[in-house]
Amino acid sequence: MFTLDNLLFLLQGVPNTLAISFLSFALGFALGIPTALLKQLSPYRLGIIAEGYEKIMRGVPVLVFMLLFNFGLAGIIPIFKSAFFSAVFALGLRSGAFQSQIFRGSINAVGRDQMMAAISLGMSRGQAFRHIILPQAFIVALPGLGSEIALLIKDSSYAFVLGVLELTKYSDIVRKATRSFIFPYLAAALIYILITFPIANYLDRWGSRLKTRYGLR
Amino acid sequence: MDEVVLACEGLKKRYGDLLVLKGIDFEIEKGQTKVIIGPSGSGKSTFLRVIGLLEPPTEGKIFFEGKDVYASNMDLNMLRAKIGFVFQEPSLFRHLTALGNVKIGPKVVLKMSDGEAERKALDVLRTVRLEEWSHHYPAQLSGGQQQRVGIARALAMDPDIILFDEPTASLDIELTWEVIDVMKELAKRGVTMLVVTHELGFAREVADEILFMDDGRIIESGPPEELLRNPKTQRAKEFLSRLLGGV
Repeated sequence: MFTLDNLLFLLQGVPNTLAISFLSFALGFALGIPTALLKQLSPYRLGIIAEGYEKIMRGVPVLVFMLLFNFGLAGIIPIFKSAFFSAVFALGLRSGAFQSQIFRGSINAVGRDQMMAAISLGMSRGQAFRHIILPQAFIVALPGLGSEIALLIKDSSYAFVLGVLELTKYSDIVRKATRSFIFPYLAAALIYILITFPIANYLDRWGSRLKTRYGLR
Repeated sequence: MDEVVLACEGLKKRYGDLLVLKGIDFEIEKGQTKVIIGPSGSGKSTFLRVIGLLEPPTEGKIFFEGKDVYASNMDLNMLRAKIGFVFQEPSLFRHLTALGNVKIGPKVVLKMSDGEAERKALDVLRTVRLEEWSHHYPAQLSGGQQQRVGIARALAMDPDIILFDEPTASLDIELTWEVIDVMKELAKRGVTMLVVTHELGFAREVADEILFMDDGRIIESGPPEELLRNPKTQRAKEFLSRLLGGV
């Protein structure tokens, strides 16, 4: 039987699920903006690095990276001895590629006229990006970033394979202990929805509110 | 001798196979207002962007206060800071209030302190009669108000010249007047201005010279009364009769 106690037990997986998701999102943010700028600003040759990074991350399953880091590279890079951080880095690297694409799209949406106006005041391209383009691009990017967080929360469940005690792992533990084959997973599914929906929805609404105020497309 | 602020020699601009500017010689002195007219596609906007240093010329030289701007020792950003630019679409920074739009140039480029930049910004917003709108975002302003903020944004840099690229072309007629009035006032105060516009009333009242552009060249120029009344070239004649005759 699946009981309230089981549910409470299951909830103990939530902190790790959230920690993996938000740390990998932060890593992805830190990688995504420079990657987007590298492709946008730099001469051709450096742009290729950004492009290659994005292509690799789009083509390789995130689980393969988790396994590679945790089992393959742990001997060389100490932080990968931790299953938790292997998951964070695998998800964060992929998120960096995805966020780069989100930012690039929103930078383009801001429009050439804004760059032209900034340049006409005597700003360097760097100053224009920092003060004019990026603040607007960030607003345009909010809904996309919301979807990206939701994706990370869901894909943090891959960390289960490495034995990280996150939500999916807990639901599996409950399944084994209670021999209830449906409810632990359904409960986990519901919890995932309850976490992802408000976050994505909030960023979506925040984004459209700011867009209306600033008259952004 | 009067001081030449901005000048060019043999200016050409090519986009791919298309030669848009076909060799332009031009100069404007301190305190002068010059107006450029001409049919669309004649290269007026391109000329303004190139001489305003927003795009490099394909050929020819540009001189700012006598110095060749594309010589290797020139800091283009600092030169651009001295050349104001008002665009056809106001192109205000949408995430900043009117005050923020005007303040950011002095702050970021001229390295003024926040308080100093704010005083400067409020001062020029008063000049364009928008001090009461300083805390509104561009999306909350009318087209005419936006364009006046655009003018204030250029003025706040204390530029040596301001270039206007059809500043009223996308405005309704009543909104056109409020912008034109501000521009007339600036001209009378002695601000050096190069203006692409078809507001001939403005040209007649404040321009020292009108330049008629067609097909990538300045084909005729002269004082407003003379050029508007007795254009010498056939093309200027046709253009003016169409501009004055048919709406």
